[in-house]
Amino acid sequence: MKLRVAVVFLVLTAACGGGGRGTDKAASTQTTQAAVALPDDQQTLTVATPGDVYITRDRNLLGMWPDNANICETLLGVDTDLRPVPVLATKWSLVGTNTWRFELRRGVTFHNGAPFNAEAVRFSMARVAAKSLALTSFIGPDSTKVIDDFTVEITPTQANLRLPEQISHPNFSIIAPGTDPVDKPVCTGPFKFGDYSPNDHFTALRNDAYWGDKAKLRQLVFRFIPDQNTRRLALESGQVDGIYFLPPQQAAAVKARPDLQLAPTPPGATVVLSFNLHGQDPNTLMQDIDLRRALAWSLDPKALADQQWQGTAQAITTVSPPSVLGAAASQIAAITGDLAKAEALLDQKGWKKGSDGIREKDGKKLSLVTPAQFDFEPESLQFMQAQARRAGIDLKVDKASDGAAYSAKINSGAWDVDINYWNQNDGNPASIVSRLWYGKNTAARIKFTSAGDKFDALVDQAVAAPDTATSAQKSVDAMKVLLAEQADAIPLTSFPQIFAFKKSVAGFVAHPSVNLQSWTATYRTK
Amino acid sequence: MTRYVVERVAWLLVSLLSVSVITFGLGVLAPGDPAEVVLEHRLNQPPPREQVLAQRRLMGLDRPLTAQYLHWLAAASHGDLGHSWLKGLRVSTALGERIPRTAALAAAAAVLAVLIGLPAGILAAVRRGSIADHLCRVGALLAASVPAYFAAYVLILMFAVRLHLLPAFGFGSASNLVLPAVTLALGPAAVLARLTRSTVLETLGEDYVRTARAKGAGTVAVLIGHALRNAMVPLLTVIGLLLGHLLGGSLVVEYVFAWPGMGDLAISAVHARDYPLIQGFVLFAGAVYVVVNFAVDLGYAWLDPRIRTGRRS
Repeated sequence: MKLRVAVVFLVLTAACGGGGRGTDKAASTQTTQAAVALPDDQQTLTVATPGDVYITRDRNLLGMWPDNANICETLLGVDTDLRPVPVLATKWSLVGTNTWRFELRRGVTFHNGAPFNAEAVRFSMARVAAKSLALTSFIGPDSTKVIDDFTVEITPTQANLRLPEQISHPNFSIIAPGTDPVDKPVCTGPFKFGDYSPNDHFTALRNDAYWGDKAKLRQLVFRFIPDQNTRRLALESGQVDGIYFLPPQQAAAVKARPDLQLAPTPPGATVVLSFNLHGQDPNTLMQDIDLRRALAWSLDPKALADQQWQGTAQAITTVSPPSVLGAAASQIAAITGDLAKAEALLDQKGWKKGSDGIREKDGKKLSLVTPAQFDFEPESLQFMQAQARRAGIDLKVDKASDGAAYSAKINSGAWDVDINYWNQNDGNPASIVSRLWYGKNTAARIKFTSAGDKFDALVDQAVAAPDTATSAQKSVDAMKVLLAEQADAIPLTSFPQIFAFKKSVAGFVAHPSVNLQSWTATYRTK
Repeated sequence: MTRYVVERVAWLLVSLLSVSVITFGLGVLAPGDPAEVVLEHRLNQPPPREQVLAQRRLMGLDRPLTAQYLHWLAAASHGDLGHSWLKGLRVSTALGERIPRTAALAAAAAVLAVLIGLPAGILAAVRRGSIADHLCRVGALLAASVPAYFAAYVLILMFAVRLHLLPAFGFGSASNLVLPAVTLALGPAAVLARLTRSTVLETLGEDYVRTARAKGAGTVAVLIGHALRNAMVPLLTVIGLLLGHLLGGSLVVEYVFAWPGMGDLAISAVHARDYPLIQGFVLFAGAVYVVVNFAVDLGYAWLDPRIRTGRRS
């Protein structure tokens, strides 16, 4: 595998005429603003994304998530500082103890000409509940009440004061009543559905009747290219105008080319290792807190950030991006980055290194089944494997072929350590803790990861907190239990996603959450 | 000849039946309760016990294994391989979308491999020891040694990035087929070239070839009428095996070129424990091997009269 990576790297570097190592800090998140735009009939932008997730997941979120073609909109959005902003709702307020009232934007129509109103919100939220898209918002089938044509109230099934932050997720898109996105998403966004060819492309067309600032692009095409090297080569060949998820190791070489530019997002995702805490034989090793602690000490997030991500990422001690937690983030001490401690702990617990360098005890090897998300960067996976191996821990990485395969593996429970990155898709400080370890979350993975009553109680408080600062503090308190007390997870890095474009693409502003990326200001220039 | 064909057909049926037993057995031996997995996919959370029991009854999993197998076989013989748990589609539909794409890629690669490998091997044999021979041998060695992903990136760099002659990825037009087909053909072409060279060299030394030459037959007539015809029997075996390999072994090439064929479908199915889809893939791949070998057997009989008449030298 190392040889393969080395060879590919050599070939790619040679093709680019070299390219020194360097860093590309996430300072610039906007592509160049050029004066002369191409004529409207040439305003088609083709962007390459990793594989077609809609073919393996159901199509309930076609064009919405994870590739957001701006066809659909939510009641609220989040700005680049992850603060809620009005979209289809113009005002929102808490009414009583657990009911949110939203005043809706007037004069908005769906792509099929139907008017946007309170009934459309009720229809969409009922669909969210029926299709299990509610995440941890606790929106139930009867949670949404129409007050008048342009006012709705949403009452979660349990206390949840984070709702305005949560419903900016594309899962909560407002759909035209009587339509089904599985066939064709009909919404209110600046783009409307064009066509979808499984495993090949998805096309969105400008909505000329859009209620807000109209898109500068006439057509937006997503091409599905699972291989990261082919994505880059497709950009260099000119076959596409931009690509998602450029590996950080290739950023310097791409940046050095006169015809290409980078657009990294602000760090909005975290790399976190989770453990199977409640698995059945043979996946029970991680029920031992000492093994969890040893693995944590064996990994060095700073080396991962500096060497693999070439300075574009930052080592973290929290499972959410520190930016969303504010000052409270600094209260959590590192549980990583001390190889000597890892080795001492394993020695003390009787795990001895075998002839292959992997530790064993009572005839059992310290070999851990480690599924990784399909689009996780392979070089970083190898780096983590190498670090764990120094301590005598064998991470048997099993990189999924697509998102559904990854979910199926995790939901089966046949794993020990889970490597994934998690997007902070909204301004909710409790978002990641409630998605991954919160016992009241009904997602299948929680059966294996739930962190216990003490943690759950703190997440409850974070969710029910009246303001964001209090929620952040309670989330940090929950993380103290999760990390320092129980070592139920290992936070490693917070990192940007790196978009790369031709120099002729202008106006693109990278959002910290790629799932919420806006394309309306982007255009092609001469 | 009729008896030979009947014998081969009988073996074909036995082989297909064996493939079906193995394929069905995969589903039975696979870990986990299929009913539970189906419900987990559907509900995205652990299903209640009573729902699992109802699903088992619905899927016929509470019946004896023989009854399950016969039911499955009857349905499979009508093209009904059940529903994919992963995609919610009929397995036949999921496979039906992908098979033509992989078949197109495999067929193009097979044609290329034969068009490159056979002439190169013949040339090397006829011009043994010449520069052409050395070039063919070195070329074959390189083509057989270079991993497919490496060759793929080099070809993309050369023809898409540098020369802008062909697309770097995609599916749907003839130009999209060129680079993946060439990549996929390189290994088989090398194997064919080397094998052709050695078998033609061997037949060129046979008595009947010397006799033909002594009777005044020209080089081309000797080569085509005698040497190549006799060399074709082992070559046909290899071509048959390569075709089966190309149909099932294009995963890396499909991935690199974003070619939506069988490869990534099969891998997704394995990762997701989507047993109906895995069974469908295994059944298809097994059937392809069996049918291709059947065709190869018929080819032997056509090429070698001793086989179709039952005589052996």
